[in-house]
This record gives sequence, C-alpha cells and structure tokens, in this order.
Amino acid sequence: MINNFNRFNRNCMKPNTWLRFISTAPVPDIDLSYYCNPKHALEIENNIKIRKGVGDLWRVLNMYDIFKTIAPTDKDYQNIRHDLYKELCILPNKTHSSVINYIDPHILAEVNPKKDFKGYAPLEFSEMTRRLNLVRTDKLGHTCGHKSYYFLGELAELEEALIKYTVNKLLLNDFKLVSVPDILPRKVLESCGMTVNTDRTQIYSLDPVHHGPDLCLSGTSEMSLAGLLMNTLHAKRDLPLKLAAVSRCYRAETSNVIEERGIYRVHQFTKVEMFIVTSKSQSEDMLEYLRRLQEELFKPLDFNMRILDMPPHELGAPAYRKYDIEAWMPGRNNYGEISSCSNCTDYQSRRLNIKYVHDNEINYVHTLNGTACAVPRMLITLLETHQDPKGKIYIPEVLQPYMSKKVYITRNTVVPELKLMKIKR
Amino acid sequence: MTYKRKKYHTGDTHLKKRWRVRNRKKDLDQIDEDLKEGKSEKLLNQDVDLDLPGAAQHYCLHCARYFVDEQALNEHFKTKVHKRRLKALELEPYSIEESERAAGHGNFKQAVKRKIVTQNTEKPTDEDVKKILSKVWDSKITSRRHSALFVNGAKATEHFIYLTPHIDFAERLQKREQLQKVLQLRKSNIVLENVESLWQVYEDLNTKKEEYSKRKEEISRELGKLIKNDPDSNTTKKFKIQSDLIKDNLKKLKAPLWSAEEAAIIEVLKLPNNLHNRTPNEEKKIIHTYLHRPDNNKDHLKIGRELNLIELKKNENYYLKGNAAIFELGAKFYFSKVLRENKFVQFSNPDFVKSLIVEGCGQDHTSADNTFILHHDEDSKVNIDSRVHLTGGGSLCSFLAYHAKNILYPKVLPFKYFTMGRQYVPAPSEEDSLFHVSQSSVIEMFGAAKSAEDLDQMLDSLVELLKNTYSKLGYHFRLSLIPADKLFMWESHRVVAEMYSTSLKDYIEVANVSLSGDFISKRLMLTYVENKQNKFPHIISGTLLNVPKFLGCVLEHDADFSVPKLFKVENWTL
Repeated sequence: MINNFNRFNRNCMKPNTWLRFISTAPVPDIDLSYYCNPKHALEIENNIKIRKGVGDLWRVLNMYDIFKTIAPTDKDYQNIRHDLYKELCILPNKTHSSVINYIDPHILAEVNPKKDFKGYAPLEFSEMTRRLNLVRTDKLGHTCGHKSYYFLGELAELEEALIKYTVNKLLLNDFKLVSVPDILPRKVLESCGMTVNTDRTQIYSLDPVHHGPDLCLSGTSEMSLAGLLMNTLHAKRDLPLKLAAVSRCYRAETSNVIEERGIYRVHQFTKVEMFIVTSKSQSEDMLEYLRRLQEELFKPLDFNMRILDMPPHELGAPAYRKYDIEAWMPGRNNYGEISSCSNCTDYQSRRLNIKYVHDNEINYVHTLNGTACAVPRMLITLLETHQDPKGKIYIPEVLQPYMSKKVYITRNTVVPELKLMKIKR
Repeated sequence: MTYKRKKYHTGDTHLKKRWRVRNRKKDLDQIDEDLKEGKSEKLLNQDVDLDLPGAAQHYCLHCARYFVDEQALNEHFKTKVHKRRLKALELEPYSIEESERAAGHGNFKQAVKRKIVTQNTEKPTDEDVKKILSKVWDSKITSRRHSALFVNGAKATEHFIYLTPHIDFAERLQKREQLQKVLQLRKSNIVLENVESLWQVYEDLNTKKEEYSKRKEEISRELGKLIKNDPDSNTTKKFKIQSDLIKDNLKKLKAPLWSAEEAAIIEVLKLPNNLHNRTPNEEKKIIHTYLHRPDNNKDHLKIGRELNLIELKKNENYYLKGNAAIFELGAKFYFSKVLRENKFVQFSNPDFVKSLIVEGCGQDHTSADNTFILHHDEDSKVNIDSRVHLTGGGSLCSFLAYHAKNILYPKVLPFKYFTMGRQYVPAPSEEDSLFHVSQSSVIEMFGAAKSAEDLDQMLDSLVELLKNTYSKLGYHFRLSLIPADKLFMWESHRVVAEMYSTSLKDYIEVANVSLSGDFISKRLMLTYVENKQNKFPHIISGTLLNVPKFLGCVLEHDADFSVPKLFKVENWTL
C-alpha cells in the first residue's frame, strides 16, 4: 500500500518538480502585413502549392478578418490570436525567385572525377566493413534498439579524424565553436520548423511521466544553436555571426528502402554543423559562401560529388533556398546526399526572436545553416571511394596527420569477430 | 462414531442390501488406521491397478472409495456422503482399551474428538503457490517489480528472451559469512535470510521437478521396451497410465515453479557484488596527490560567464562557447591520443540501450533518476521492461550492449577498449553547476581479463596511466579509493581521480575506474570458452575523463583559465 501510494505520489509530483523551460520561447512574430495582405494572396497560394502544399491560406485570411474586427480587450481575443498564429506558423517560407520554376534539382557543379576501379567491382559499405570487421550492425535490436551501429578500431579513429579535420578548417574560417546540449525543450524545436506533436514524429522525446512533458532530443545542432540565440539582440558590426558545433543527432525516422540499408539512414550520428546569423542584406551572399566552404571542405577528401540547387518542393518549410551536395557512392552505384546548406531568411528568427540593430533600426536577422560533416554518410563515401581490391582502404592525405600518419585502414584484428551464444530452451 | 438411525427395522431393505458381506467396505476404525501417516500416503499414491476404477489413481481416503478421474473425485468431496463421513470420523474409534476401561480397568477417559479435513488431492499447484506467496509476503518483499534481465514462464510469450543470466547464488551461499559481511560493509538493507528462504522454496520445487523427470525417463524407457515386445498386455497399459500421470504432475508443477523461480531470482539479482580486498571499509583512502590544492574563492560559473565561456540555461541545457568548447574537444582528443598510444582500441558507440542492459549493469531500469527513458512512440503497449534508455555512447551500458551474450576466444583476453562520446545521467539536483549536469562529454574505457589477478594488473597500469596523463596537464588532483558503502552494487572496487572545487570547498570526481569482477559478465553472459568450459571474464571499466566536471575544476584553479597547450588545435594532428 505504501509503495502504491509512493508511486502515485511520484507520478503527480514529478512533473511539477521536473518541469523546466516552460514557455521560454517567445510568441512568433509573423509578418502579418505580408501574409495577410490579400494583394499577396496569389503569390503565397502559389508558393504553398509548389512546396508540398502545407498550410491553408484562405483559412488564415478568414481568421485574420475576424481578428481585425475584434478588440484586444475582448475575452476571445487571445484565443483567436492563438489560432491565427497557429495557422500562420505552418505556412512555408518564401521561395527564392530563381528556383521557383525548378521541378528537378539543378546541377550547379561537379567536383572531382569519378574514381576508375579498372574492372574491379567496388564493394558496398556494409559488405566491405563486414569483411574488414570495422562495424557491427547486426543483432543489436534487443540490446540497443533498431539500426544501431558500432564503429570499431580504425574506423572510429577515422571518425575522430574527420571531426578534427572539419573543426580545424572551420576554426581557420573564423567560426566560433560551441558545445551544445542534445536535450532541448520542445518549443525550440518547433521554432526551427520541426513538427513535434504529431503521432509519427521525426523527433525522439523523453518519457513525459518520468522526465516532464517538455524534453526532446535534438535532431540537429541547428536546433540547439537556435536555442542559444533565442531572444537575443545583436549589433550590426557583430554580424555575420558564424557558429559551429559538434554534436550527436537523434532522428526517429527510418526507412526500409534497400538503397538506404546499412548506416545510410540511422537514428543517431555525430555531425559537425555550421550556423550563421547575418543581417538582411548579407544572407544571399553568405549562402554562396557556405556552399563554397563546403566544397573546400570536401574537395581534398577526393571523392566525386555534385552540387545541386534544390527545387521548391524539396525545401522544407523554413528554407528559402537550399543547396545539397551529393556524393558518388561507388558501392551502391548511386549518389547520396552528404550535406546541405540552406538560407532560412527570417523564418527562424521571427519564431525565436533574434534581432539586430542597425542605425537605430531593429530588424530580424537572417539565419543559415549547413552541414560540415555528417559522419556515417561521409564514412560510406570515403570507404567506398577509396577502397582497394586488396582489401585496404586508402586514407585521404588531408586526414592522415589526424590518424597518426596512417595511410591505409586494414582489416581489424584487434576486436574479435562477433560470436553470440545461442539460447538454450 | 456411528451413523445412527431412528428406526432399525422398518423400511430397511436397502440397508439390508448394503450390509450384505459382498457390499462391505472398510469400517470406520479401519479407515482411522488408514489415516495414519505413512499409510495414507501409500493409499493416495497407489500403483496402477487396472481392475479398480480409474486404475486406482483417484482414491478418497475417508470414504475408502475409488473414483474414475480427478473431476469425479473433486465432485465427490462436495457431496453430503463425504461430508457426513468426515463428521463420523471425528470421534476416536471404540477400542479394546476403552472397553477395558469401561469394565473397571483404569480410569474413564473421554473419547477424543478430532478435526477431520478432506485429503489434499495431488495438487501441488494451489498449495505451493500459496506457500510461495506467503513466503514472499513474510519476507516483506511487496514490490511486484519485474525484471528485464530475468524473464520466465508466462511472460516469456510477450517478452522476447534475449539471454538468461547466470545465477551463482548457490555458490555464493557456500561462503555465506563472506556474503553477509559484504552486505554489512555496504550498509545494504537486504536481509539475506529472506532471500535464502525464497531460494529454498525454489530449490525444493526444483528437486521435486527433477525427481518427476527422472521417474518419467525411467518409465518411458521401460515402456519403450514393453511396447515392442507386448503392446497389449496389462503391464504396458499400466505403464502408459503411469507415464501420463507423471506428465500431468510435471505440468501442474510448472506454474508454481515459475513463480518461485521468478520471486527468488529477482531478489537474488538485487544482491550486490563481492568486495575487492583493496576496497577500504569505511573511510576514503587517498593513494596519490599531485601538487597542492588551490586556495581561492573562485566560482566556475561566475568566471565562465565573465569570460563568455559558459551559458547555463538549465542542467539539461548548457552551452560551452569559444575556448571552453575547444577545451572540451581538445581534452577528449588528448586523452584519446594517449589511450591509443597505450594500445587501447577505439570504439564509437550508440547512445541508446534497452532496459535489459541497464538492469544487467546493476542499475534500476525503472527509475528515472538513473537513466533517461525515451518516450514510447509505438502503438504497442508500454512494457516497463523493454524501454529504450538514453545513456550515451560513453557509458558502461553501451559497451555491454555490444558484449552481452558474446562468446570470446580466450586468446583475445585481456583487451582494453575506449570510446569518446556523450554520457547522459539525469541531474540529481536543479542547482546550476557544471558539477552535476545531465549531459557530459566523456572518455569511457572498458576492459576484460581472464582472472582477478590479471584484472588487478590492468588496474595498476591504468592508475599509472591516469597519474601520468593528469600530471602532464599541471593541475592539482588526487587519487583515492572509495569505501565499501559508497560503491555501486555492481562495483567491487573503485579508484577515482578528484580535483578540488574552491566554490564547493570539496573534491569532485573527474575520473574513475571500477572493477566489477565477473559480476556483470555473469548477468549479461559475456563468456569465453577455455578447455571446453564456459568461463566469465573479469571486467574493468571507467570514465577516464568527465569534461564538464574537469572544466569546472580547472576554471576554479588559481591560475587564470587558458586552454592547456596539449589541448590546443595545433596539437590535434600528430
């Protein structure tokens, strides 16, 4: 009985004592004069249509009409306002004028030639790592959960080397390194344009009974960095603010597509992310800068890749324009996305209240983000590109200093191959 | 002692018939004899006799009647006939002695009245379950907590059994004093007697089961022979019935055995590890000190804010900026370099583990204070024993998720691995401080050796390594041994590296190395085979660097904060 009581007590007490970050995120300040102006209705409607069709503009306009007539003192004012903003929030960002008519991704450039294997059929990542005993992915469902993986020995070293290489390069480019939390309040995630509350979400959350209802695992450090900058005011001279973070990313989505087998799409991985805050006028140039920087980062790693300008329906709600980099993965005989950078203009800053002052004028900043290195896919690309018929893997020259000057990754013999006990019944 | 009737001579035809010699059943005094110990058991477990109803397997002792099956017997127990018989048997039978007393030899003695109850039919089920439950109740083990590690019986259908832990309680009981001493030193509130009594129930039932299975084997062997030679004979039939009966008994034993097993093993799994002989009994023992403790009143949070290094939102939520972030990465890279030079193999681990592993590592998987539990997103029902926990790749759990159920070749032992990753532990308090944040960047190591001696050697070399590595950084630290009552239940010994915090005026644990012997390997079936025998390797594990705690202490050091030379970006390359 006592025990029961305790449990009861615990369940009701916990949320109170554990409730943190309640309503720390500001109310989004959405540009009513643009979205609710009937003059722009056609343009917005069109934009919604080319971008996966999320959002209902007519509903917004109707609600706005009611909202306009109602006095702020009315008791329904808050409710109506809340509903209106809820609808407004799911409308996508504007789209860059030069990509509006794209249906397919537009290839901007191709970097490095495809490697010639001279008649040797390149192996796929999972097959290769199985032979070299560098990864364990099998039989982990009951101990770590679906799609977990362990990197062993030199592959783990290569992961570390990649992070070192990337962070070093970013620091040379005046990025400020930040160490970010991976457990975030829900509001921050929502403000970044993730939908959290739907049934099948992309986001992991912590058990609401045990840890309070408000905590989620970050899907990318972009969210954590946005959380850091939330409710801040910057001076124009401090912009552009360039941040970089190394963090774990947690994503609940999975796929059973054969192309995405192995560690191509996983629930958890390490990533180096770039996040840039600029003034209104700088953001388009900054996106080009980000793209160039990514190219510079990846080019020395010596694999074939192509840079794509993404069409509107591939953009996702926050982005205004987005470049993807796809690497050639010879083992799968296909291109795979290894990185992207996007300009979110003021979409995120309006929701997170990040502003800057210039000549006594306060404006919302523009935010951009880009992947500097997403470890699993980068490893797939590197291993598949630099494999050797003799069963070695060449380490690109720029990474060698970070791996105690090793030139090849060879078969891992230090970690024993897996042998599991059979259960007797 | 008699059935008394008012009229003896009218309307007694049916009685006359019943009283005929051919209808004679046992008399009440004969039955009274039957009730005596020894005889009654024999009667209740008669050999198969094909001439009697139900092959003489369902016998009512008090009525001296045979029934065709168990149901008929149970029905009979509810009848008036049976109840009347019980009543009639209450009074002690008339005897020669009584008659002699009545005739003047000796003194009068009132005939004794006894309480007669229906025999126990062969149902160990109800009775034993009750016994077990009452035992459980007696031991005051009221929590009906299930185990993720040990699953049996009916639950096995809804819960996949990945492994069955090796239970060594019988062996530990042989050194009972030692176990008792361990409990006492650890100031544990487990009462060994209770666990023992539960274990006894389980053992008893198990022996019973084994007896049955042995007999079953014997009978089926006999039966096999008989069926070949003489398939239709009476003996064959007899054996067939016997084997059916034993099968039935075994089946009935299953449920009580399961619950006894579960009750006992769950408690056994809660018993803590043995203690290493180096573990001090009460006081922390300092074994090494480097430099002097800082003497000032710095507060790492204040300094961190002044230098714009730390932004603390809440314990789940802190940011390290600028040099602090470089310090974090640099410290990890420095340690990883040192460890690689010392022949450690690098791992990169996943951050999630299942409840099974958490419990296997000696933590309570149902408690939200130990690990972060993820929200159950699927449509299926929530099962507290198969949740997903966020422990981080830099944790013992994550290494064991790899090694559970693993069979190693003896030649790979000893091995030592390390990983660079996150560690998540729910913050114990809400006070702002880097010393108890819920997310830390860590360097975690894991090693295994064949024997306790080998493990001690590994520990010694690791302690030397810690001394060297930390000394090179030029900060004050000390190494100490943790006393028995401060150890986790899975640990047998822990060495910690501590640094001084001037804001708390106390030492903070920035690194630790724990020995756990074969405790965890037995629970999670990490084995190696030597001379065709399954053996359990001894495990050493530890967090060699906890960055936020380390950073907090470094900020409070006498000298102003700067990134140590060894952590600097230019030293990341080799």
